Amino acid sequence: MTTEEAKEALLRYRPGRPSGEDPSVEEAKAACERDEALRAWFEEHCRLQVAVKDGFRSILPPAGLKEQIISERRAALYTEKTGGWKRSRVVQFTGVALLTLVVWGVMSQRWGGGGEETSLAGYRKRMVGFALRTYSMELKTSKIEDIRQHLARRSFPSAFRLPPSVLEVPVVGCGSTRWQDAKVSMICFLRGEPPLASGVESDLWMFVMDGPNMKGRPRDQEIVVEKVNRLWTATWEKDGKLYLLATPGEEADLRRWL
Amino acid sequence: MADPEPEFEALVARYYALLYQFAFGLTRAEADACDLTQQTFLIWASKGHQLRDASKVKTWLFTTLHRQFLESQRRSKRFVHEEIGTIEHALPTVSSGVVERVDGSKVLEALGRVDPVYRAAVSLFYLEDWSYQEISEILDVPLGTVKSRISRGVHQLQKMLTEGSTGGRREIGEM
Repeated sequence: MTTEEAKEALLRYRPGRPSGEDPSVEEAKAACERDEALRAWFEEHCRLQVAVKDGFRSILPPAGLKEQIISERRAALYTEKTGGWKRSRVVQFTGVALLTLVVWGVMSQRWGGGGEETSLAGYRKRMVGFALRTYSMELKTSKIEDIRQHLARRSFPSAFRLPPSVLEVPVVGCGSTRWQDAKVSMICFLRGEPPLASGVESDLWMFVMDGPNMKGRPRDQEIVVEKVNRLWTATWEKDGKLYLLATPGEEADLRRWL
Repeated sequence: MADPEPEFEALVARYYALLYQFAFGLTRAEADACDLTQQTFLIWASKGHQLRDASKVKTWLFTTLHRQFLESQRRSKRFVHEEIGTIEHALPTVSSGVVERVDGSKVLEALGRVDPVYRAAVSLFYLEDWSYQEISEILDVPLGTVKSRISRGVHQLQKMLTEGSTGGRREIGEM
């Protein structure tokens, strides 16, 4: 085994794990005993392996993901129970899952699937996901001016114009995210009807992004209404900004705020 | 509705973070990783009862997530890949300074530049200490291919981290 062959095998060595499943690693480790330079390389490699492993494990799921998965499942079960279906539980499970898969597949086909979808549909999907999963706000306040200042300090869109009906809803805070490298501001409101589940802090979200250039963007004066996941969304463009309003419930619940 | 499926919820609580880590390693996009994780549990809800061996639940979930990822990749784009027989370049020297500067964000950034075909094997290699046999089952590739992909993927990752620490791109042969 040459030095380079030994190094290649040692790339698969995992500190703290028995390497018995890989004889070439064992052979390479034995070579380290005879080759000082190889041993030094191996020791540094081990340190890097530990650091990389720690790096991987520092990936944390976003807040609310677990609750989102469980609540979606509960919602599916609820739909089954109230749908009046007579079929067995197994068939119901399969039906809902298949339907969701078909819808997911059709949407993926339609909008390019996989990766980041660069169309309005992709933007809507991303923002709805953000609203449903993220209940911790960067700033909690009941003052819209505080929100504008906070967002402006971070160079996120802050000179937005909210519909008068939305301004009547109590504002509770804001957050921010990015889409395709563009900064997106999220303003959170609390309708409070029906009463929110424990831990949920808002139920009406306004997303604002500057200078959108995407496929399917709303035409001038057009408001695109679409249901995404559990939220109804309305999207429009005004003064070079793209506005996305989202809320759970029925379509009429959304239209009250337009 | 009060806990209609305690087993399902326990399964989610136990594995969602691990699955998310794997999904994030594959997609490098939070929303996509969330979708993949959620989709995996949805499929479990409909098909999980078919699994006879309860000890295989974790492998089943990772396998399903990886298949969903490949399916989404297949629809979005096709990447050309050739398995390479050997690593052509000399392996990089890892200076001690590199290790000190490695953190989560650097690892993820580097992982994003690793050839997509190696990324899944590398992620599993680091994330959960899976055995080669388990990685082989999850990725549905032969054992030899698993080893090859891990070697090449780790090599690429190490190369990215080493280059990143020097502040510019260099070919391995120059090091």
